[in-house]
Amino acid sequence: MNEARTVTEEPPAAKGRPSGTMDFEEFVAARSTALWRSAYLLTGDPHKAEDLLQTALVKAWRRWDSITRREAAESYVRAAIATTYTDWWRRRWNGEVPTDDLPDAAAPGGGEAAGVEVRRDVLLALARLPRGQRAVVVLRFFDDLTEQQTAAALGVSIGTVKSQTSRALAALRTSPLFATETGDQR
Amino acid sequence: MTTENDHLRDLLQRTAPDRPELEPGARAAAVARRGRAARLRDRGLVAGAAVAVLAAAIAVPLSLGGDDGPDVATQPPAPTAPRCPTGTIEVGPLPSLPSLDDVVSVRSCPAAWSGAGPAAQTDPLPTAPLVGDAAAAFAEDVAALPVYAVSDQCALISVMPEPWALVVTTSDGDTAVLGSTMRFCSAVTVGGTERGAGDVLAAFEGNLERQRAGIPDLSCPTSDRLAEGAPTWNASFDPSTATAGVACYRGDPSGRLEYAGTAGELSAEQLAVVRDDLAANLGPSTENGMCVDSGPQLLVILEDAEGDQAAYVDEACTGEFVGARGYWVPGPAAADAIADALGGRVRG
Repeated sequence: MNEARTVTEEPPAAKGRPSGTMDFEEFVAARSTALWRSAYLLTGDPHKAEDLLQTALVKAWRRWDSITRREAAESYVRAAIATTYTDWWRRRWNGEVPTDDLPDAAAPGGGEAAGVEVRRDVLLALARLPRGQRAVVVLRFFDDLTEQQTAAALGVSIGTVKSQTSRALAALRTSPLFATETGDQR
Repeated sequence: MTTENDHLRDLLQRTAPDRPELEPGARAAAVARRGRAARLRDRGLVAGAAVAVLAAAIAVPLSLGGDDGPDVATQPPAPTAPRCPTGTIEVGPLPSLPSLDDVVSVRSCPAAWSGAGPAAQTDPLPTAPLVGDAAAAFAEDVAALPVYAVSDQCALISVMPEPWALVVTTSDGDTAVLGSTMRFCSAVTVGGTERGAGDVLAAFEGNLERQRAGIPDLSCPTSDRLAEGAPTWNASFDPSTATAGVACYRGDPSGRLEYAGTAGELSAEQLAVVRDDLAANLGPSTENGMCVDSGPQLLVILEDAEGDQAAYVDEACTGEFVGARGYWVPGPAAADAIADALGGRVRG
């Protein structure tokens, strides 16, 4: 899809936007890598993360005329990522294939191997969380959203965010990686 | 001092790769294409040559989402489940499970029963685990099953033991066993409610197959036996939410035909009739006899707006369909709707 290097069409009503507001491509260029990283932590897979991010961005693209500030756009896309992710399983969990081990991204050896192990262990621990808890963990501890912002993004109450966070942290503590590395530091 | 939350933040930062393969410019272009496609679709303008041009632009890489797919090929994630314990699990009697809430994996493990009588030689259950959302879907299906009731068939026949065990893991790492000495004419207790062992196993195997192969497009099966592979196990599907449906038919092996066609989509009007009839008439069985091995087969598959599907099959019986939520004898209007979807009844 190399022909897709140039955007040839603006989102709806983009031509009529007042000067000083942000273009869609500008927003994607500035923020989509960070958003993709969040999507990666949700899905555990780079390609599925791309799919999730693009799906959320399409929703923003179609409503771009009503989104005027970068902060609002980012909030909108983050919420779209989170809700699309939590809803997706009904339509798209097809194709998920369980295995006993996550694939390594590189052969073990030195610091790179240690990094691969951390990634594998964290993804394994996240994969064991129900989707709602996983979304809360990513929004709260990776995207650094407040409980209120997380609740708004997921369309749930702050109480639900608190209880999901508590349950997720309790589950993550059973992972050797979390238990070992946090045990001496608290 | 590093807190637990800081440590989690650090681990998440180290886990997320620095950047994706796709450049932002290419992503923005891909999003614009997908947005245009969605807009065209919504306006009902996707037709003829426009479809061909659009499909050529976005076709190949869309392995996950059809028109809304990504610009790169997708690969499956890799959730996991604990391995089975060494040896076999004794399944008689087992404590009841308080709940299947918060389940993250379900795996069939070798089971045994030390009680009297020889065990039946049956096909082993699949060894692949249900994980993540598929495990949660299994839990939803079990919770939606009707309360178990001993059928007349079970009162008439002698069933040999067929021990089975499902090892269930929750998000906090706890495990429990759901199992029984028999696959049919038996119940397991979950959350204080008895569910049919056969229904629970059907939900397990159905969700496994869906986890492996995904949900197929809504269409009639091509196999001789319509019930084969049909989602008759999907108890969590609410038929009142159906937005599409198909009716499928196989004639009596003797050659006698009752309907003009073997497959047909339910029109919006026919679907509404079927939906209302299911709401009114889906319930406990009214059929007291045994099914025969041959005869005409009818299958109705419904789909909701999210693509979930459930099936109801009348497999060579007496006009009574069976689905995961119970039995259904269509009223005259629903029977006519199904017949009309199949091209009408054959006279004479």
